[in-house]
Amino acid sequence: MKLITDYKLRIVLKNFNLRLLLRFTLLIILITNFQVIVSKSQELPPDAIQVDFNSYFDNFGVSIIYPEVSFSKSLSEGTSINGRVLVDVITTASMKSHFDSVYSFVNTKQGLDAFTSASKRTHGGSDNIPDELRGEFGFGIVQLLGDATASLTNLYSIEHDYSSETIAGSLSIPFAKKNTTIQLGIVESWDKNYPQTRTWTADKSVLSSTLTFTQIFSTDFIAQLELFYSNLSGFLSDPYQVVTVVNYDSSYLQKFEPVYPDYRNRAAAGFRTLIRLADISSLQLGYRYYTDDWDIKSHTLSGLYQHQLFEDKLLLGAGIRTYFQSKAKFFKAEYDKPEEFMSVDPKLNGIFSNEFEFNLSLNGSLIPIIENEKLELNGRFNLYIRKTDSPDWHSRYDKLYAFLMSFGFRFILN
Amino acid sequence: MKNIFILFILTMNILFSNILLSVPNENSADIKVGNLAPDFKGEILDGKELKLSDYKGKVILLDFWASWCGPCQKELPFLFQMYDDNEDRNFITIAVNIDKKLNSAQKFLDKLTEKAHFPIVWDSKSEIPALYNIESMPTTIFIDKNGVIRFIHTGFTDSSKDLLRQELEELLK
Amino acid sequence: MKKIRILIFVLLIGLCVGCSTVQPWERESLSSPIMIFDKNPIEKGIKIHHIEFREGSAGATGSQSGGCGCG
Repeated sequence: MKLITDYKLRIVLKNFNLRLLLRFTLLIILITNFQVIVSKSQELPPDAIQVDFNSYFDNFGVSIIYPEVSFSKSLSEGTSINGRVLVDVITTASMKSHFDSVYSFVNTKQGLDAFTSASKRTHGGSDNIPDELRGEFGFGIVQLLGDATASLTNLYSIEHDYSSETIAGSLSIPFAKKNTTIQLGIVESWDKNYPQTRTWTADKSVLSSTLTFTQIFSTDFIAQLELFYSNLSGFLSDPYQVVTVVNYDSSYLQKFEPVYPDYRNRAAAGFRTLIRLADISSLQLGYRYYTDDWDIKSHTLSGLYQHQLFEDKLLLGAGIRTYFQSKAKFFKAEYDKPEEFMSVDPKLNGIFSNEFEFNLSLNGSLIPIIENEKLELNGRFNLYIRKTDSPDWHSRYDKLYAFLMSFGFRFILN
Repeated sequence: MKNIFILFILTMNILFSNILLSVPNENSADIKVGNLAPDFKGEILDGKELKLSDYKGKVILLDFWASWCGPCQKELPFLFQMYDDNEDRNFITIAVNIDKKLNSAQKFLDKLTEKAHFPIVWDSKSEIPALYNIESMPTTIFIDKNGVIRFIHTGFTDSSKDLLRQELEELLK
Repeated sequence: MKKIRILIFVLLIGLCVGCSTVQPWERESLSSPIMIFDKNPIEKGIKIHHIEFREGSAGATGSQSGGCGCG
């Protein structure tokens, strides 16, 4: 018992120290910025404000709208700060019941089918009233250090049953007349789960690192290799999902909370290229391999064609993404007896998905009356189709059709 | 997991060995403070020919810019102003534009409220920046009355303004 | 065998790096918005959030890069 307490204490101290250290670093960067003359030979992001209105609708009955406002402002020649606020409004997240087949079999139609994280009700059923708000607030700083660029970002996400704090740092160093860039990123997050249907709270922590290597091969060809490694520990389950154990021989049905391992190591390697096809068009091709110790392996293929018109004042893009995934070792569509680890989460199932994207970006100088080249209007439409090896635990659909739409603008302030 | 680690180590190895082996541009002169500025010929926007050595005896500010380069867009109006303020002194600014299409440069210049009262060379083949082996865009080089390179700057920010004015004063003494 | 394949892959990348240098004055093509990886990182963040909520993988989706490299 003492050992466990010591271990927990050590984890708490470790997290506390890291948080403190990162905050201290942020402060030091801010202070030194006004005293040290930075040899400036890189460009900071421009001062800008960006507003996006995003929406998501799917055939599982989930609708989400999430407006986002972000800004970037330079404080001096070597430093710029940025901030973002995002609000998720989730509607109809308490899903329609499709448990009828199981229920009619055992004829025990009672109680509650399922909760989702957005459900505040004690009964299932679908409606169009917003169920939940999630707020995300971020603050970051970008600092030029000679040719290198360092950034530090602090992000909070809050909802009624969940909170998360993330600290992300990155360092980008160009070499060989800026033809080669190495970027190192480290992200640590601490999540707290306090489901309203339970009395307990549970923590999760994630530490991820990314190494990106970008090479300009010619004026028409750029390639990028990215390596990713992540370690998750703590409560990795979803408290709102329900594992139903059904034994057809004995007409036995029992509901359990999902049980996940309390650690996960994830690794991925992605490679992509950007090729100029002609004066006004380019093609981006990418491949990513992912693996983890839950036995999920995946392959992602992606392509994006971009076309510019009116010099570069109107950009049009069309993209496709294809994804294959093997299931987690403990995932089962249906359990006939309780097991050590149990999950019915569709994202841990075998998956084949496709996403189609169309986007456009229009410079304000082309818009009559406004005629302001500092304004940029953006729009994006995505159709996402996911097929899982077995039907979803709750909706009983094996195909998810989701439609995403995003509109927004970006205004350059300097 | 192990393979990814090996990939990382090897990538780093090869990357760093390549950086060490990076070859300098073969057409470039030896450009550093204290050396003579290499002479060049170019065509200015109105079609006339310009030769750097024609301006020997004057303090020369040689600037490399392009319409597609953000900091250049901020620098150019300042150079117009600095030249106008010192026009009657022994000083000339030569701005070398490297846009592939003359139209792009012209469009940018037309948008500016300030106008250039000094020669702008259009070098679409980028022979002059190659000769000077510039490190970044924009690059600004001060050449003294004897044709010697005295200051080299890459990039442009607000603090560059005071620095450039200060250096000009020093060279005009 | 797998290690050898990775080694060959990395050596090829390395060789390519050594033989190419795009000069600062040649970057007109690269300054164009269609030659930038992830021109709008905020939009990308939203897309990744949506995907990671529906699939079991994460990471290695690339970082913003490209552009004229001016300044």
